[in-house]
Amino acid sequence: MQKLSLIILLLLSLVSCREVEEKFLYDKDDPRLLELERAKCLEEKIYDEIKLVNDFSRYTLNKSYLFKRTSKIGTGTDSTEAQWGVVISAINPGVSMTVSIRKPQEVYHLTYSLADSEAIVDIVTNGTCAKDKYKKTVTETTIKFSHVLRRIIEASTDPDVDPPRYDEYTRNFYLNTEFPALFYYFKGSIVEKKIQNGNSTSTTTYTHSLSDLDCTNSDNNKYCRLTGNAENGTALEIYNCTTVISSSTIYTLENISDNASEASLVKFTPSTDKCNTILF
Amino acid sequence: MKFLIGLLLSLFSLNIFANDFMEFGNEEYLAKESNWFIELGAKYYRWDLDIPPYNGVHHDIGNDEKVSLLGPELAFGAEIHLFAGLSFSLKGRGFYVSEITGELGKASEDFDYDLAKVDSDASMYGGEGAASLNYTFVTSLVEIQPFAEVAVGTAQSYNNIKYTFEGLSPSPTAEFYKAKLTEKFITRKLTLGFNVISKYGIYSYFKASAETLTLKERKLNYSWEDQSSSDSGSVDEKDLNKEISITTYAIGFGYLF
Repeated sequence: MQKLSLIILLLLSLVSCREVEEKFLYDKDDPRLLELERAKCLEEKIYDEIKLVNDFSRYTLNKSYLFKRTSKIGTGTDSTEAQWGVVISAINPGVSMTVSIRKPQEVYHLTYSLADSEAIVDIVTNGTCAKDKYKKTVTETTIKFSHVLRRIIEASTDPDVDPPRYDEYTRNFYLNTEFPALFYYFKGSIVEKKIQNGNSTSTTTYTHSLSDLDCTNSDNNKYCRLTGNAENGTALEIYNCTTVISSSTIYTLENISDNASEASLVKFTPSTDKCNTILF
Repeated sequence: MKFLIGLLLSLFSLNIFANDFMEFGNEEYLAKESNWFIELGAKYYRWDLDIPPYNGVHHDIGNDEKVSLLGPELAFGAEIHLFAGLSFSLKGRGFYVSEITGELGKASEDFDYDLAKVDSDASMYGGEGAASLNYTFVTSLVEIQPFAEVAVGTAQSYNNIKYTFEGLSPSPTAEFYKAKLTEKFITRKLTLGFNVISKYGIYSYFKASAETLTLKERKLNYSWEDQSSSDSGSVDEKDLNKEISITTYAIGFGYLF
C-alpha cells in the first residue's frame, strides 16, 4: 500500500511543480545597475533612521560612558589597554555638541558640529551603499561597516598577485541611532594581521566598547571629573579639540596605506597636537 | 523536475511485471469476467493560448503562444465481459492539467535583485463519459489489452499570465503585461491504447487521443505596456463554435476488482 501511496503522491506533485527559470539580465558593471543598487540600498529603513543622530536634542546632557579598549593576541585573553570616561558635556541643538574625554591626567573637549554629524552619516551612507566600498551589515538601529587596509612590507612584482609580505588592517565600526554619530569611533574593533606568503603569522585584535557610567558614584571620579585635580593630586591638563571630517571620504576596501590610523572618518585637530593622542 | 517524476512513474509502471509488485490485490481476479475498475494516471498535451501578442524588453508573447499541460486524471467504471477476449467498458473520468511556470530576471550575476518577473499559470479541467471496446490477449506473465475508446465531455481552461519589468534609469523604462483568459469547451475524443494487466488485477495503461474541443465561451481581460505603446481591453464571447484539434497522451495505472 505504501507503493500505491507513493505513486499517488508523485502524480499529485506533477501538478504542484512550479518551474522557475532564473536569468541575469544585465552585465554586473552596467552603470544603470550600480545606480539601481544604490537606490535600493537607500530604501533600507536604517538609512532614514540613522539620520536621527543629527538631532542633538535626542541626547542627554552629562550622560556618561566608560570607553574601554582591550587587546588580544591570537586566541589569547583580552587585556585592557585603556579606560576613559566619555561625557556629553554640552549640547547646542542644531549647532554642535561637546564630548569630553577623561584620561587619567588629561581632559579633551571635542567640539562636534552638526555639519560633522551630517558628514559622517553621508559618508557612511554613501560608502555602504556604493559597490565595493565599505562592507556592511545593518539592523534596524545599527549600521556596521568595515574596511580593510594594507601596509605592504614587501611588494609583489605582479600587481595581480598579493604581496609576499604585508600587514592587513581591518577596522569595524558601528553607527547606532542611540549614540551621537561621533561615537562610531568608540565602538567596534580593529584586527591587525601580519601576512606572509598568504599565511597569517600573527593576529592582534583590539576591541572598543562603551558602557554606561554612573558619575554620581564617587568611585568613578577618575572617569567623570572634568576639572580640577586628577586623583594623584596634579592638575588635569585641559585640551580643546575640534573635529575635522577626513578628506578621504570613502575608503576603498583594499586601499594601500602606510598609516593604518587613517581609517577613521574623523580626525581631531588642531588646537594642539595632543588632540591626536585620542586617535587609534 | 516534471520529467524526472514522469520517468519515476514510468519505472513504477514497469515494476508491475515483478511478482511482488504492490502488496494488495486479489489473485482471484479473472480476466474473462466483468469487473469494476478505478484508474489514476497522468495526461499531457500542448495547448495554444489565444492571448494578445507582446514584445517587451525581457519577455515576448507570440501569436501562437503554446503551453505544455500535464496533470492527473481519475476514472471509475465497469468492464463488461462479452465473449472470448472481448469486453466493453463504460467509465466516467475527470482530469486537471496545468503548467505553472515562472521566470525571474535577476539584475546581474552579483546583484540578486528581481528586476523582471514572469508568472504563467495555465490550467484546464474537465470531465467526460467514455466507452471502450477491449480485447484481451493472455500471456504466461500478463494480459495485454488493446482498446479503442470514444468519449464526450466538457472542459474549462483558466490562464493567467503576468510579466513585470521594473525598468532602469534612464532606459529601458518599466513595462508590464497582464492577461486572464477563461474558456469553456465541449470535448469529443477518440482514443487508442492498451492495458498491461497483472494477475492481481493491477494494470498500467498507455494511450493517445485525438481530441476535438469546441470552444463555446471565451472571456479575456488584458492590459500591457511596452517601451512605446500600451493597450488594454476585454472580450466576453458566448455561443461560439470554434473547433480546436489536439493530440493528448496519458499513462497511468488501474485496479480491476
